[in-house]
Amino acid sequence: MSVTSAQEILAELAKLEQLTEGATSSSTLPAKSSKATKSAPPLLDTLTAFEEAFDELQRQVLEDTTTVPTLFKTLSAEVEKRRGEVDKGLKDWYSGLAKVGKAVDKNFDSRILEVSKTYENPKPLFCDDEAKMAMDEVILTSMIRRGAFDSARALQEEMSVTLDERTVELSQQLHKTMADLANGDVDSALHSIHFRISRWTSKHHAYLSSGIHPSALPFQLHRARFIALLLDPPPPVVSIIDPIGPVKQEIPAALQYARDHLFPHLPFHEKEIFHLAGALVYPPSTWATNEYADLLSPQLEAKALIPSFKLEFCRLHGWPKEDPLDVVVELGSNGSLIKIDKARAMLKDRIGDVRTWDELPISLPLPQTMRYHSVFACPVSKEQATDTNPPKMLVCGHVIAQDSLTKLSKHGSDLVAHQILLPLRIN
Amino acid sequence: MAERKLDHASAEMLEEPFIRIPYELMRRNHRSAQRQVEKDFAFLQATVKALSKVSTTTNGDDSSESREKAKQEILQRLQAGSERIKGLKRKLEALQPSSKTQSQSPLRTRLDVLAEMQNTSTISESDQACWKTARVDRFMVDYLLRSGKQSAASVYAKERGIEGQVDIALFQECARIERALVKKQSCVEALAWCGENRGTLKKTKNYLEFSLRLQEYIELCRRKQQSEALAYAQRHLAVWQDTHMREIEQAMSLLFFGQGTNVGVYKRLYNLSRWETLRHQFQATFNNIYGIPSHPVLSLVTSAGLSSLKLAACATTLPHESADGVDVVMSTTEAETDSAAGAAASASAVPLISSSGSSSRALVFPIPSLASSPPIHTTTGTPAIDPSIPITSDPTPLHDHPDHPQRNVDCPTCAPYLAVLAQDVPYSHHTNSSLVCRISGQVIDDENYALAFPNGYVYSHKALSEMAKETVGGIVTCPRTLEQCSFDHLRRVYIL
Repeated sequence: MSVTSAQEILAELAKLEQLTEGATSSSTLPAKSSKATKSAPPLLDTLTAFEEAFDELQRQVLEDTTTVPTLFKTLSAEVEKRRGEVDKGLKDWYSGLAKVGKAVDKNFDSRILEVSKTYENPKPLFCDDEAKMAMDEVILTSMIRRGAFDSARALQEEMSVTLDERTVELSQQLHKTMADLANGDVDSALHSIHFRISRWTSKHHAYLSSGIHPSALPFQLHRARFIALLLDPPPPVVSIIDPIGPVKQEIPAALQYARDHLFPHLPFHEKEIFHLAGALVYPPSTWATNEYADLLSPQLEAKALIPSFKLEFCRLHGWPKEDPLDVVVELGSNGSLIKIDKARAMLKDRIGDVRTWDELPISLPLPQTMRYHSVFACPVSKEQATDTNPPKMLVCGHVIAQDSLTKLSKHGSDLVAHQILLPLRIN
Repeated sequence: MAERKLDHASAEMLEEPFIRIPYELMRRNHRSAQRQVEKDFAFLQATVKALSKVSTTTNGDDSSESREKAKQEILQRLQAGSERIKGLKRKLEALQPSSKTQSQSPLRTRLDVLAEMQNTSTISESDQACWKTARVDRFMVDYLLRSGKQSAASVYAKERGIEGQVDIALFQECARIERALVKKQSCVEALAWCGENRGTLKKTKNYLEFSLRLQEYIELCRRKQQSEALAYAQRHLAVWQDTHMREIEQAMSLLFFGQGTNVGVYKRLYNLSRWETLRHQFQATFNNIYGIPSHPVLSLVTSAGLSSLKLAACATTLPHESADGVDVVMSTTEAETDSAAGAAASASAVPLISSSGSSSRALVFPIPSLASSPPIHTTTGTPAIDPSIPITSDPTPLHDHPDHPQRNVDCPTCAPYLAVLAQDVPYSHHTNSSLVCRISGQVIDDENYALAFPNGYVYSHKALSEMAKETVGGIVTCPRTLEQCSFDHLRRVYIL
């Protein structure tokens, strides 16, 4: 297994730092021990000794235990000696530092500096006022999304723009709710969700009923609360005794909760709700060994619902599900920048530097989760479809671009198209 | 998520400044340690000399009074020397980080961060996600520092707990010197910096110092202080004769011309825009010395990231023309290019398809290149597709605007401000089709294949079959046009 760059530099740095630690620790390096003993004592120890010598001389003067000439002699010898030691210490430090530098140079080839240079001409990247302003706004949006509100306000002051208070408020709500969920509290999440569903359903009823599945999140939140109530039942509330009723009825909190909040979800989660109801019969202590072990799964806890809550929340407010800046930085850092530069290095004689390109000369891989739009590339011409050259579907179900279709049919009958495409269809 | 793993070579390339800057700072610290030692020992040697004088003077005079005086002086000098050593010790302690001192060296902090990323065997997926977020945070702070937003940068670094991973002090120094150049028109700060880095500047053949000296000289000429200017030139410009003879000669002739001159060369020398040029030269030199790339890393990766995503469909300035989506039947043998638009045409298309097996005509359907929607289940709503609607507004259903531009809220190149930046980068390149279902947001592939409505709109099999399951008789509705048909009437589309 090869040593990573960080490990290699860290090893040199550790050796350098040893220099400040003196003889005891340098002897722990057996391979280097002969060298370590030769090296000067740590600078700071030298200086401490030096300082003590001065103090000692002061004491001697005070107590009149020395004569001025001896004092002068001692002092001058002391200064000379310490000067030599300090110089040696600095030299050792410098050579240790140079070794760290060598390790840095070995592992980093300044490529990023070269890459950056290729983005300078004819016009540096993102240098006009509009782009600068846009980047600041992008950063501001990310700060708000991350819940870094103090920073957002500081940046807003430096940029002299006004913050969108509603976005800030929403983000505060999002972060508070996520913190609540992390503590097992589902109330604020349910509040946001319910608010959303009622508003959304009334407005988009037609679309809803044509729809796919309703979100399971409210059910999951209630389930988390229900399980928590079973595991840790609250002290019974003294209920007002119904004067007409024969006896005071005491319903366990969990059962009451299931009635109020789980059963409304029966149409969509029948099986799960019956399973949950069954759990009422068994004390939680027995769950681990019976068929209710699944209720103890951490995946059912409120904490585990944070990601899906975040997703739902973003959807509701029309926010991207991931911070767009995170997405582009991830793509850019994860190969795109290097691959673009490789293509540039290969093709620069023909197509110049990156800043002059209209389109990338190579296709870059996109993870499935980062595909946001459909792209149609004609299998015949390899060209991307455009509004003037739209994709067309043939009777056989294959799709080619309009231009390719025209060309193919010029060459003969439409049969040509079939013969070309049919074999591929079997594949 | 497996395909979102870290690419180590790429990630490492970006971290070079992250590691190199603290290393360069350690070198710089070493230099100032040397200077400090030089200074303090010079003082101590002076002390020794002074004491030797005391010792010779006391030799002749033995009165107790003068001895007491000498003693006091000796004590005073020893005390001062001791203080000096204490000061030196304190300074060296700060300059030479050790594992013993409480504050870890910034280089070590960062190497630990890098090691964490490189140690793939132990890093969990969520740790990796955290690492990536922290990396974006670092890039953001770096960008802010470099664009002069010092206070936002430090507040953010503090809020995210990454102060040890960003170079706030360094960039503050850079900003301070730049400000002095441009706002105060003062070279003093920049010259001091040059003095500190003289060795490196010489080695890299950097002539910032000459430019600064020349500017100070020009300013003297501007104020008509000719004799001072001459003296200055003799002292500070003459030494550059090996490399800058021509410039020196030019500068000397400047003595004959006033600020109002119309002679090109001298007009240029007097031009105040030279200060801005100096600032750029300083910035470039500064970046060079510390191994800082000419562009902030954030800009570079953002450009590359946006470029990998950018499609014509993203360009918010060009609303997608989707008239083709309604323009249904098209025969290649007959040149029927007229737009028999809408539902009537599509209705007539259906029987043609069903008999198409024996038809000699190549029937073709236009398929609009649909944008994906974010993954939606019904309650999450449809995306806001109108770029003019602020992102916080209520989602607009797709079918309200069948011809709407295809903005996708999740797509960074469609995001309001990133879209502005996206205008400045190349489009992505595709030789293969990649379809994304507008209903589910899922990628369409062999398993989750494409189905086309009779009107030509294409969605994924999974989304449509789920929709069919919900309705009696398996009716599906095109969310774009609200056209309904039976699931059986959908046609499979083969994308190669």
